[in-house]
Amino acid sequence: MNLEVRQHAATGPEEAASAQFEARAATLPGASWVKELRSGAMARFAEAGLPHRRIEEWKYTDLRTAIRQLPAPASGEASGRGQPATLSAIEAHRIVIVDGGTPQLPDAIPGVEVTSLEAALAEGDPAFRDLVSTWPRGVESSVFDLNTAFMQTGAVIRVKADTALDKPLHLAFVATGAEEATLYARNILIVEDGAALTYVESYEGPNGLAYHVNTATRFTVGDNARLAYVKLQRDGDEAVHLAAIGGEVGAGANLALSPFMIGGALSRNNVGLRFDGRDAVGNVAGVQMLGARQHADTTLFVDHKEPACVSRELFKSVLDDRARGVFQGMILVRKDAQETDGKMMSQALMLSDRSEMDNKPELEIYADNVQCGHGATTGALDHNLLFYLRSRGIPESTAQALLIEAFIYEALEAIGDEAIEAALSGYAHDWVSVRRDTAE
Amino acid sequence: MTALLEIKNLHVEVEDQKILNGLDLVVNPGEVHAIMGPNGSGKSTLAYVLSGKDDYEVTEGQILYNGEDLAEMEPEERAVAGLFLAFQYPVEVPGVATMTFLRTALNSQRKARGEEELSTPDFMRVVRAAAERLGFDMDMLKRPVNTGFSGGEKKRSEILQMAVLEPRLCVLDETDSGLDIDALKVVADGVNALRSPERAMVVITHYQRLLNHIVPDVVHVLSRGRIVETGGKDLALELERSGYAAYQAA
Repeated sequence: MNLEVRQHAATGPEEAASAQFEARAATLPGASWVKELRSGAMARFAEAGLPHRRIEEWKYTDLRTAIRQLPAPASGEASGRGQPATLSAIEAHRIVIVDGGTPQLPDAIPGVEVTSLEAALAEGDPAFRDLVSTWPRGVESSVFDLNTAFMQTGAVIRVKADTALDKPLHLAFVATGAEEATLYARNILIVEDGAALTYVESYEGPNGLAYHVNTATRFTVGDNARLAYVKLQRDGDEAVHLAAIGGEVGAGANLALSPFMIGGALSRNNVGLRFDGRDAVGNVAGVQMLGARQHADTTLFVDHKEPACVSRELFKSVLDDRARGVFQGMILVRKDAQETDGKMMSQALMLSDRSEMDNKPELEIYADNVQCGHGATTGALDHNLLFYLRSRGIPESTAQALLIEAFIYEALEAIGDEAIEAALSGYAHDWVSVRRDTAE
Repeated sequence: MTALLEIKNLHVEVEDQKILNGLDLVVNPGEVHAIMGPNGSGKSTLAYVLSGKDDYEVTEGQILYNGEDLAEMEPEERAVAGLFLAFQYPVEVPGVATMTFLRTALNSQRKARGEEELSTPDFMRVVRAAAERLGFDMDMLKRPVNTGFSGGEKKRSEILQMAVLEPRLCVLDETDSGLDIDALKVVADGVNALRSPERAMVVITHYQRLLNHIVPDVVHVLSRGRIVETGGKDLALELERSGYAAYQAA
């Protein structure tokens, strides 16, 4: 058999996708330009199939092996209204999407337009079309094509120039477990010049149900604008979560992107970030806390297209039991991007001998006056630190819990919103407490 | 009267290397003992084996604390029983606020002793009282444990922990190392403020200068893993003049 031949027999999920598309295409939202986009994406998926280990970026996360079944797209009618449990104590303008249904929109927010994806796709504003169909490098894949083919719900948020919100905007996806389906979500986030937004996107669902989430959020941050974007993944323990997050930041803009992954059986975040103007700052600070046989992969592409931008990527992985974490990060510095300052670090804390971490940081630099670096560390809890805490009367399990929370603290701190940081710390604390109580 | 600490014929190995070779020591409540010795004599090993660090293997002999065998106790259990080690090199614990650390430590100890845990305001009162007693300010409590602290700040933090946790036996491992004379005096004054008839202290040091400030009742010379001479505070002055050479000759 010649392995160079890329053609392969369609597997169950791939055949299922084609059949599901045939059945659903006519009812999926959008004007004719959207329909074209969908069928093009579906054709690409049919050609490529699910990503597998022979594709370099998917070496550590082989979906063809991992995904045996592709649940049908959510009917959107499985459940009525619902409220998220996640971050519910945070004061926020809230958009709630339950079981892939129509978004429940918040009351009017001055200077902000919030619409449903469905409404936006029905129209054809060229700028909006562009945001739906053109993404920065780093997010493209055949699962992203599936998202384009099936995108069924989501929110479109526009923060008008020089608007600053009084409180965060929270987009909450809730799976109630009424059906074992795939949620295909697509969100668009526009932060115009000089505007400022703290945005939280959360996912939650029940344990014991093999539902899928395939979500893509496209952001664009205008000149001198500010976006703090927290993504919190608390899906159920059998869920598959596949996500694309991508966008560009303008001159003098500031982006803080914080993916926090704690749920799901299998997760993948593809993040693509491009600097489109000079003097912008991008801070990507992620946390993943995994146990059992959880697998989570964050793959990041940072594109320094313009000069004098600063990017910081910090990933903290806490891995227990037989969990596997993957971090792949690439910083590309183009020829014109002089005075780029880019630093990437992935740190993993291994709480079990059977856990695994795969790190692949890379730099590709074409400019000659830059400061760039990357690093990766992997290790167990420091015995000297544990001993110090224990020598003060702190039981070993509590000492471990304190050190685990301390380990991720640096990444949470980057968010810059105390209430959200505290809430995420709370989820980390819960994770650590469950682990401690199991150990005792 | 039961001795607070009674060490009998203690032999300790670290990574298959014999460090302590038949050490005997009796410390009664209210006493301050100085243990002096050259580098490599086993001073820090004694401190670690008392506090229960892994990899310090007792191959022979016994350590009785308040009549109980320490060998069976985990480090945290020793702390609950009232044993405290002031580290020679306190570790930095980034991400854990000193206040959180101290409150967790105190409440863990109280819980283990069957006492009620302190509320935050009550805990704050305890800490404030301890800091006032030592003449320390409270600023370091807001910072992560020892992180970015100067040598003097680290040692002050150890003494403050000691004051809050109120141990019965304090082991001070080279508390003078890395301190200039002013910092040394501040730390020594803190230690002196914690002397009491119920509390005993074992002060481990290479140099006599610390003992000008913390005046011991008994001075021991440790060499090659055993106590080779015991005397009063004047013994320390003698050592300062003559050095350890006499004890190291085989």
